[in-house]
Amino acid sequence: MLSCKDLVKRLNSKEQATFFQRAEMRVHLMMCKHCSNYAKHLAYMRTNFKKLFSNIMKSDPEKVKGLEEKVIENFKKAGEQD
Amino acid sequence: MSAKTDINFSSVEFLAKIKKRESEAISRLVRTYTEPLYNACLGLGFNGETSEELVQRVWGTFFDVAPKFQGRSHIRTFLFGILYNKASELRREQKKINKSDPIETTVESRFSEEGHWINPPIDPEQFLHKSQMLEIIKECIDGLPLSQRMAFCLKEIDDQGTSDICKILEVTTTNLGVLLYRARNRLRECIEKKA
Repeated sequence: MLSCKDLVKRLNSKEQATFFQRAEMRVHLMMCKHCSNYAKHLAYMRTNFKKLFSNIMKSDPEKVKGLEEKVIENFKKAGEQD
Repeated sequence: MSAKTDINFSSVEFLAKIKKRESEAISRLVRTYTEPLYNACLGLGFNGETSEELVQRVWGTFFDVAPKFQGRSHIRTFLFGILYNKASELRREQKKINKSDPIETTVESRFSEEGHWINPPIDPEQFLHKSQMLEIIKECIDGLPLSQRMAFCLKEIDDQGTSDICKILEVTTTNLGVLLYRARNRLRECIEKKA
């Protein structure tokens, strides 16, 4: 039978589990409160972090516009020097 | 970003224009990718001022190396690769990075020799409650090493393809898996620990 440690490893693995492995994991999660908690943490993290990052990563359009102009200007200046 | 601009930017004609330093093509490129690059800097935890500085360095480097760009990967991937290098450089100036990662021992230590939980994960409701406190998450994210944070940002947040992320970070798929595993578990432990 799959141990908790193995299950955690498998939950974190990017490899696609086989049909048998998936069934094995489902049975373990059904019976094991701790592992099912762990699995839920991972799921929560996914959705919450998306929200958090989209908040952090919202930039001021004016600032971006200014930055774009600065970059283009620098590029043109460098071209004139060549 | 629409599929149409993607096709344009990867086309041989467009690359040729970039190599010839045609200012119209360059301007289009700058206007398309400055925002995502800037946002990524913010996501990596740099403040507005530092982010601006970083983005300018990225473009500077890009203009220098553009004539040698082979077009083997998408320009977006190429730009983010430069960004990652510049960001690492900056972080390295700020502090030295440890090679081994203590999070692996932390995860191991929660299991007995038979692989049972010694110190089981907390109740999901409680975990959800803690993880909804954005301040806590922010603190925990700030504790991530740059490579893990970048991998996490690109993968879980930005939904970039695995092969592109590997090219950006210059790691194998296996290494990317390790980075993501460490990031996820470090964050989980960190949130759980916060009262």
